[in-house]
Amino acid sequence: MKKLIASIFLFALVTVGANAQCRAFTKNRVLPNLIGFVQNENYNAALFMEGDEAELLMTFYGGKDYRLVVMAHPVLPEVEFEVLDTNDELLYTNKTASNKNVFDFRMSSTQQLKVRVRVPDSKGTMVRQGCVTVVAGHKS
Amino acid sequence: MVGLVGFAAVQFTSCSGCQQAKTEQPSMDAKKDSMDQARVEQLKKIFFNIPSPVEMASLIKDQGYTYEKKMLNAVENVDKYMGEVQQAVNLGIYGADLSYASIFDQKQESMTYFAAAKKLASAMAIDGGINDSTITKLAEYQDNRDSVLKIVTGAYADLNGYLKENNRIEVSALVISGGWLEALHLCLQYAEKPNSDLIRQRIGEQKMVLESLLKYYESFNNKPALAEMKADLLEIQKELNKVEITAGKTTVSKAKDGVMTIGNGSKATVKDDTLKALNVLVKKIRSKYVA
Repeated sequence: MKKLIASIFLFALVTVGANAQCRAFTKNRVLPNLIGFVQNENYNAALFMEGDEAELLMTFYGGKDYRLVVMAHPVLPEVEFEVLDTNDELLYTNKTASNKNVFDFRMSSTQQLKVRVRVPDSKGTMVRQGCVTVVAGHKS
Repeated sequence: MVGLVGFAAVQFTSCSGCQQAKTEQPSMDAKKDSMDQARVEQLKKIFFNIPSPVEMASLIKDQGYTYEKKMLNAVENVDKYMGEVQQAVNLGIYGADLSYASIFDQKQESMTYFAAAKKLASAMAIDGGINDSTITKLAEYQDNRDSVLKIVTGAYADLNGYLKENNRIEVSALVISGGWLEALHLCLQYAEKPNSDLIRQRIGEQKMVLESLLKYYESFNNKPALAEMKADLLEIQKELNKVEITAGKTTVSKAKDGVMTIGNGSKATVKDDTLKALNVLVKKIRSKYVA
């Protein structure tokens, strides 16, 4: 039991330390993709392991142009992301996009959309982990 | 079990590692599951998003309204704020005021509000985004509104990241709530003016935004620091629940300029008495924090 608690504590420490690196990754590698857009003030970056999947609910206002940038640290396989409505209707996937990390779109009306992010499982013997960041920006 | 689903924030499941642990080291399985659970809980608090106050300020400007300093929280109040909750909420409030001043290209006001925000951030020992070097940068680029906006929103995003990475996620939630509250307050003031249909619509749409914010609060399991704000937000939700939002099926099309366009034709209808009640309520709640 003690070992388990120690493991969790160690894991928490490692996670916090590694998450701190996500801020630098976001600033240096992700934000340059938002040039021309005003960055949303929420911070969404965390450590993902291969096979992890996450979903983020976002509200986008009608009449605005947005850019969504989803990036994973190069240590991870190429991140997959999809945009769906709240009925799980698929609206966009980066699988067929030329730019796998950036999605530009316009909202004709205000709506909540789900952004589903997945780090593929490489089926290797080692499970890799690295930062994944989701940022949104709007045109001013 | 690669799985998913979460709302408001996020839900994670991790898996490839578990499979390996199961087959090679069964005794590790429980540890892995516990660690996954801890990670899931932590990540739920990190992944969260609502529109920034700057988007509301931008709408006000786009509608042709003028800048009104009297609507903002006076920077002279900054020294009054004691205690982490009041400081965090006002850090968010000043952030929204700063966005509003920046959108209206109020150079001196933007600098003053940034300095007030910096004072609060320092008092709260927050070392992210809002610091002396950002103030210098802001002064350097003050004649370029787009650069100012980029600096301001970048500083608040970095502050948000700093708080999340340093296990002060509740503080981050309060800053975001303060910003949302102030942006709503500003919109409510303009909603009383003529030709404010789009502003009223945007106020009504806050029903969706607040729903996300409150779901985010649920991930904190009734943390005492968030109790007062949560109760206030629930009060506001009671009023916003009177807003009727209609929407159709989501459509995706390509605009003439090639940009993908998404929409479901949603429309929020806010009745006059709901708007009035909301204004009174938000004023009451806001004045409690800024007083």
